[in-house]
Amino acid sequence: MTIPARLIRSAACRSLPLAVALTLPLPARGADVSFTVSDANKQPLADAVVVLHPLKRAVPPATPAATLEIEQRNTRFNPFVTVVRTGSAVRLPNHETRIAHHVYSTSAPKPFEFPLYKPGKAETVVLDKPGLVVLGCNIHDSMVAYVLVLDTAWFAKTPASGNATLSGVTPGRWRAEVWHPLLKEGVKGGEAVPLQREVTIAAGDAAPNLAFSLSLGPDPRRRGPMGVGGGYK
Amino acid sequence: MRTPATCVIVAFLAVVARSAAHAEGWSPNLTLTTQWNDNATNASASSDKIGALQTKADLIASERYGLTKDDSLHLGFHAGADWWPRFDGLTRGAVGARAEWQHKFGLGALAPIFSVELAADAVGAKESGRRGTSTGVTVTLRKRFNDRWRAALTHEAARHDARFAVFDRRGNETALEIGRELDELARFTLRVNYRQGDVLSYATPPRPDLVALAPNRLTVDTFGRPMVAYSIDARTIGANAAVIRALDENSAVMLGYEWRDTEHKPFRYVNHLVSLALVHQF
Repeated sequence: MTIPARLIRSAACRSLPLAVALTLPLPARGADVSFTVSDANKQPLADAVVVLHPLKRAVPPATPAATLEIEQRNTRFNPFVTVVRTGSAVRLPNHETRIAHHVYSTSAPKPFEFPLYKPGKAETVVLDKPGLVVLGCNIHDSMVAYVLVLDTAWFAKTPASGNATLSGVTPGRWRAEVWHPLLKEGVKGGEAVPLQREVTIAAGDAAPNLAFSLSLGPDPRRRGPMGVGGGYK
Repeated sequence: MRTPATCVIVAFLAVVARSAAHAEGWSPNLTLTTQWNDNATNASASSDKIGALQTKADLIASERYGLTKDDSLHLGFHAGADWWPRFDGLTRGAVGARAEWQHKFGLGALAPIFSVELAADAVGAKESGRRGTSTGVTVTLRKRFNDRWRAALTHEAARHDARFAVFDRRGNETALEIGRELDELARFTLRVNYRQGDVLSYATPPRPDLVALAPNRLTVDTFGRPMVAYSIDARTIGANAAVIRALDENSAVMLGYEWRDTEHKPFRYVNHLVSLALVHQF
């Protein structure tokens, strides 16, 4: 039995979306996209979050489960900036020698409060909604940390070199974003407002590089005995 | 507030602190100040005005105890010394205790804080008549509005009970301080205050106008010539502008100017003070 060519074309047309869905998003064959982030003085900028959002549907690369931790040490949160996928858990250990902390966030994606807990103790918070979560200590106002919770998996945080690379970026149109807690106008209404740029990744592109220059505002972690300890006693 | 009462309250707070769970470590804070006062004699007559340099050292260390998630108790001690290079009769030292209860109205850096502080010092002085005890209660409401602006409203009732009545001082002072962050390292503060209470004015006799105002007076040679110290109940209004700049994580330098106008009609004098201070947190 032979199948008429007309029927074959028809079947092929009906199954095309499935075929496309199965063949196009092969992240393992995607490009590496590099970001170079600097401040207004052209100095490399650490702690900048670089993100790619696909403007068309794309399958994100698998991200292995990781234990994320923001410690309290020397009346500071460390790290200052954390970027996670939605649904991640963040552990908040107190690594001070004597000082208790009262860690909280009033940010819309995850308001929470862990009243005074001692050194050696840890609390954990699950960040189940995307957005910016700002952590503070209700006793030590100079303590602040930022957690950017993202739905996308194409993200990274710049180290001291200001350079970060996102791998497995499939050809297509993307929105590249860069955000830093000190970015001027970088937080509005409690939400992160990144610098953004649309980019097209063509098949065979060799490691495109995106350079961003950020204008920064004052650091909220100001320290020093400024009358009332930089915040309140 | 009477000194014994202050001691009882401080002792009570110490007992409360022992039962509180979260001691957080002493954080001694040393402030070294050099101040030029154009009218150290608080004189109303220009011929009696003597400018002088004063140096001060103050060490305050306190430990925080969390009582509830919104309340804390700060217990500490204070040691201070004043030295006047030209007039060492004014040299004095003080040691004492501090106890402060703080209540924070909610979460975060912008939540207002209300505090009540009790202070008690034993004061030694080169001129024995100035020796005594100083006590005070300070009520403060602090509020930070955003990353740049903050304010504090303070009322202080203080008294110094000296060996000689002329050196007693009682006063009530209300002050409003506005602070603005200039950048990551510097802050500007403007403080205005109103005080009603005893002041000590020195004048060369005869001054019948001051005699009428000052039931307590004493002849002294503190300033290198015979003058009379008059204790006068007067009102003072003042304004202070200062810039404080962090030098590193633990140190800051402060430059300030203060103007004071003190009056009990027809008596009146003005002070201009310029100060430079170094603050270090250990």
